[in-house]
Amino acid sequence: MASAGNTVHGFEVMYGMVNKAVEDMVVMHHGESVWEQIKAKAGVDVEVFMSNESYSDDITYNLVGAASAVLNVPAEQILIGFGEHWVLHTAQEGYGGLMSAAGKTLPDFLRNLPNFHSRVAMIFPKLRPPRFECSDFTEQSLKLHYFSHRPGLAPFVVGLMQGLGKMFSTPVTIRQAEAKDQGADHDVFDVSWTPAPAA
Amino acid sequence: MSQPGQPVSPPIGLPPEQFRAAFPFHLALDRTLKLIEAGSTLRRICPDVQPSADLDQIFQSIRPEGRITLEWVLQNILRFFLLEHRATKLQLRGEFILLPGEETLLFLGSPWFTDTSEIAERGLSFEDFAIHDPVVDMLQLFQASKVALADAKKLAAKLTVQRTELRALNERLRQQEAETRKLALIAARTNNAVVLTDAAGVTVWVNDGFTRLTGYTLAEMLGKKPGSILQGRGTDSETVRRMGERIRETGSFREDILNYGKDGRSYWVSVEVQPIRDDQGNLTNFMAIETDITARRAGQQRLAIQFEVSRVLAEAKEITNALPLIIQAICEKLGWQVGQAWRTTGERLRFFGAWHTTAGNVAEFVNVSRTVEFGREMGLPGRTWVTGEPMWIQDLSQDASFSRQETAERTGLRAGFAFPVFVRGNVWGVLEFFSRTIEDPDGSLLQTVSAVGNQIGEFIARRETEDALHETSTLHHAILEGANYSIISTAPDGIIQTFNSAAERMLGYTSEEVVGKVTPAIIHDVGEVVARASELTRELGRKVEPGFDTFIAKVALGKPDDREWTYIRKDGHRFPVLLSITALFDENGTVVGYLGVASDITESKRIAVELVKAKEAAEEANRAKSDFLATMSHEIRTPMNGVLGMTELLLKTNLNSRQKEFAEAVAQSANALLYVIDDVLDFSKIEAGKLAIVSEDFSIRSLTDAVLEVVAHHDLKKKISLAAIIHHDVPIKVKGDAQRLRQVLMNLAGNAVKFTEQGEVVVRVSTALAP
Repeated sequence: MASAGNTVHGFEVMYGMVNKAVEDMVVMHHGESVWEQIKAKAGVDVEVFMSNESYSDDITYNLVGAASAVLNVPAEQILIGFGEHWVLHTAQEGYGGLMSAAGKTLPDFLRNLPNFHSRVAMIFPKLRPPRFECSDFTEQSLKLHYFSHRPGLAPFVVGLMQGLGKMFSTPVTIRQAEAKDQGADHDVFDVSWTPAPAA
Repeated sequence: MSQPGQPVSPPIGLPPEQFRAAFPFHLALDRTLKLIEAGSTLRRICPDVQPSADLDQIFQSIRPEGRITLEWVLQNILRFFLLEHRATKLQLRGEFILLPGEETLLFLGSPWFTDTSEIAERGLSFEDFAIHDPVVDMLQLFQASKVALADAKKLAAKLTVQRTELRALNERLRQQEAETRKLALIAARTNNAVVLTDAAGVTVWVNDGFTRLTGYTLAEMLGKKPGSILQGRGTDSETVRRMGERIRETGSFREDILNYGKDGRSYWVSVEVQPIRDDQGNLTNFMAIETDITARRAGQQRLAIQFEVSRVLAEAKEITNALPLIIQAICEKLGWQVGQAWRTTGERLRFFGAWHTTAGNVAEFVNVSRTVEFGREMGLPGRTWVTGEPMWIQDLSQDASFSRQETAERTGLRAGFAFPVFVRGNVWGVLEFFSRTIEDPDGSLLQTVSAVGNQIGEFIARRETEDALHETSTLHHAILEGANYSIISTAPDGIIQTFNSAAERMLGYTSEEVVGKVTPAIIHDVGEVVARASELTRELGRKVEPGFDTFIAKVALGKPDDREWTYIRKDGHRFPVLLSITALFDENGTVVGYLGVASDITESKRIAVELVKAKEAAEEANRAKSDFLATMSHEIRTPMNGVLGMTELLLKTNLNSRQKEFAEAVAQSANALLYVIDDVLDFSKIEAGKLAIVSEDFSIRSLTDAVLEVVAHHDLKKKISLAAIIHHDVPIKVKGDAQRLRQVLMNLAGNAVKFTEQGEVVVRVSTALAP
């Protein structure tokens, strides 16, 4: 991962795509009316999230919080599910071929991740994606470093990894090795996989 | 010219490996446009892109359009080219560069995709592109735009739906608004009073109707509870309590209640209160609609008074009992506390009766009234008496003419009215009523009570008439029931209506058995009725049916019909009666029934028979006596004639005076005896009815002389003169019974002489006037 070291700041705004992803996920699994309940509970009065428009990240947090309350599911689970949904649905929709062009295997994809984020950042100038770095590469594992000053999104990263595993049909195991909210400098995940049969 | 497959020496000295990495889709051509070299990625995805291939064979130019020749390319060397790989349709965008030396034509380009998915479809990945190549990023931008467009479309669609919904909503809102405006207009303009309160019952709005009704404006009502402003001393606390209860339980109620306007005037309203709730069902307001029912209620009150008075009077027997009930009814219907009746007695009005509520000490007012009297013009009753009109005192304390002011004040009575009761045009009495609240004069109420006064007066008059009638009917009843005559009346159709006690005794039926049930046919003999019908048919010249017609045929013509009939008792006993039938007429002369008065004549008939028998017996005894006397007279005459004959013969012999005197005395006595016998004989003949009066010619002068001759010899010793004076117009001959006349004359003259001691006895004969 040649250019893994791009450091980005935490984001104060989210593109509509993120909120839309939450919406899609909820609607897909629970229907429109539950989504309306969640929006009402979150105090969000936006009819259609424009993917390329930026919205306050409070909205996202509120939506996740409200979804947790309405669906009676811990926020952590919501975030994990959201990570998966992001990879398997939202990113497919929004980035489309870009996702598949970003790598043919999970390791390829992870290696390309810094470039990928650079390109995304170029296209969505207001978005400052979290910084990911990969280290300790082996054939079947790596350490994923996640830098974000916004707390509580570690489960989202777990979800993302799980989603990628599904996307590449590669069983993947994610274990949080270090946690920022427990005093570490940043979150570190041990990611390991078995080679995809078709890879 | 370099050989195909040989790397081109870039003028900037780019090493071949770096060039290839930088341009993975480049084409290098010689002047014949044969391929010298191609980028590795391009070669991978387009297998026919191989050295020595003709460019024109494997590519066509989309832009500019034209057949690819060196000359054409050079002519357009400054143009942007879009080439399409003929076999795979992969489009390459880029430019031609004629390298220095003009031997080599270089095409620098990269694939043109309109969809990111094409990258993968072409079997490409990011690593197949030069890092500087913006194609992927442009694709991503394009993708982003597509997503944005999709979002926009979605938004547009959603907005379209929402716009449609909004339009519908707007329409509904517009309709609702129109409806609301209409309702608001109605609420504002209606004559009913409308009050809107908040959920706590505090006024937030009133309409003009409310202000008109109560006198209070919206500004005066804002922030106040309507009840606290509108209810007053006369408002029924039970109603207020009930209203509160309903509000708590159901949020709504409908009640009639007495309210007070700003000017203190009381009025009755029908209040309907409904809760207003928001969409969530939360109570936000109450709306009260108040309808002024004062007039309606007054009307109902008046009707109720008249109804009650009528009812009481209908059920009452005596005014003494009825009046307190009437006073009570009026008090209760009006909500007044005291009512009193005064009766005119001579020149005074005296307490007659009263009713009062248990409120306060109003009883004391009545007690004081019991002890007072009023003359004409005195106090409320006296003035009402004199004027004969109802009177109203709005505030007793302000009316100097009200004589019981002090008592009224002490007992809390504030207003009063009175009205007279007329009986046959005279004030019979006065009724007065008192209220504990000041009451405005109510003309319509006074009209009502005047009518009540008339009603009471009519009742009293009727009672008096009925009492008089009752006395009469009591007498009639006594006569009817006391009589020994059977009295039976019938309706015009013959059905018995009256059957008195005597009839019951006489006929053995009870009144209940016959009245309204049968005709008198049951007590008559059919044969007798048939016979009488025939008789009447003849007499009246029309067919009289044997039946009830038989009894009324004559009386219906106004003729009396008294005759004997046979009555048949219930037990079959028959007896004779004398039945007198008369028709009963009403004042119009219409027959309303018939009356039959009958007396049992069994006894009188028996007595009559006995009398006949007695008379016959007496007559028989008399006849026997006469026969005996006639016989005896006759038997005496025969020897007496011998005595007289012999005496006359003896006198014709020579007798001395003494003998002659004796013989003459014998003859005289014998004659006298003979006369007596003749008289007895005549008497007996008269009694026996055998004395015949004869008619013969005779001379009255001779008869008179002969009588005097005999009489003169009766008492020769008396010194009286005896004379006959016969008037000259007396005929010489008259027709008659000379013998009877002689007897009469003999008796009269004989008695005259007999009872005359001196003077004279004169017989005068003259003619009487011819009849």
